[in-house]
Amino acid sequence: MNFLFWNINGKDLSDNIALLCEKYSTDVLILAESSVNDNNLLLKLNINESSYYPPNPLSNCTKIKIFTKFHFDFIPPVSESVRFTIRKISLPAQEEFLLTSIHYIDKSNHSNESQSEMASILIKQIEATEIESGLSKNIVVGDFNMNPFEKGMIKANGFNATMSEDIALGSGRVVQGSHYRYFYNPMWSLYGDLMTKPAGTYFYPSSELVSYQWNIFDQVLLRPEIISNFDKTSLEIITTDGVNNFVRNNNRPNSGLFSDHLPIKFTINF
Amino acid sequence: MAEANDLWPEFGQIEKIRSPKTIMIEQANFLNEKTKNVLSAKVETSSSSTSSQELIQFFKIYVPALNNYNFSLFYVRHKVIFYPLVIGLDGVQFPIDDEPQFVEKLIEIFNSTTTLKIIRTLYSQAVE
Repeated sequence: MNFLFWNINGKDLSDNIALLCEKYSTDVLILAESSVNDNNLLLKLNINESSYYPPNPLSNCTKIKIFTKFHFDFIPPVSESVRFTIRKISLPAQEEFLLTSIHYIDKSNHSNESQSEMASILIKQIEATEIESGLSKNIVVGDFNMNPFEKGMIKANGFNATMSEDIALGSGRVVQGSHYRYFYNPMWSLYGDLMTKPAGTYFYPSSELVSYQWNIFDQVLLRPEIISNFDKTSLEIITTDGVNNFVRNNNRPNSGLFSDHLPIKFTINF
Repeated sequence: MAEANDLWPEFGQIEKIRSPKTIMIEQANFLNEKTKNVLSAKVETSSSSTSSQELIQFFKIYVPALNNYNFSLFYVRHKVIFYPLVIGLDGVQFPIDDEPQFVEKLIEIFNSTTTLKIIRTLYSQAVE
């Protein structure tokens, strides 16, 4: 099952999305900051054949839109707020799992401390849904507005997302008598430009003395139970839809024409 | 041995303070009544993982007819002494000093266009 996530920054990028979905045979398309009319996008996605279905009408999460190649009845929302939607994917003859999509609070209005604190609150809601649904296989994808190394992503009572598959497959962390389950965060492996360009998903040239410039805000996290289904070679930061380049010559996002975020894609095999 | 002295002041009639959770449960019950239990609002308590003295109260609207789908409308974070507390709504945290301010904020949340839209949508889908 091929997933694609893109924060499209409120732009009508439906032509580019359609090209991406065709190029990468996307089964689950997740959009953040989408102001594109659902029906118009659906027409573009289905221009060659009627493959995609509209988003589940039950969803009240206004920050995330999910289009799928299977009927929306197979991806009902289970628990939501304005900023996150947790879906149960129940396809015939396939093991059920949870898909959590988020568009997290941004850095321009929230301090790192606030982001970290709110990560602790969000994870409680995710864990409550995992327990209520009895499903421990959970994929969390979205725009976290935090880098993988930031406090909210790392701390045990936040996302507790480790860069190491081996650690994630362990028994979790016990801190002061409390047990915390891990997420595996494969996005760490996409930092820098030694293997592939660009060096992140979001470029922000801050004038501060300390500036990472390249950030990986767009991430996918996996619970240990679903790591074995994850195709590691599939994870990519995407720079082109096959026709248009989303980056300029310097490999930075061309936010004038496209989004200031680059899309990511990955595959889960069942 | 000297006789023990009562060092406490005279309390008179001790004023009872309603906890934020009690107020939230009352409002949850009103919503349930108004929707004839088609929607089922609940207050779920969780201990804060950032401070052992803090509790988080989530105000969630459940839809039993839709496989118990739930929407987390807002949350309240408070300590053992209830006020000041913080209301978390749509990624923004609002500091609240006392009960009248808390009630005022709840009125604002419950009457907002977003909340009413969510309630109408959930109700309509449940009774379809």
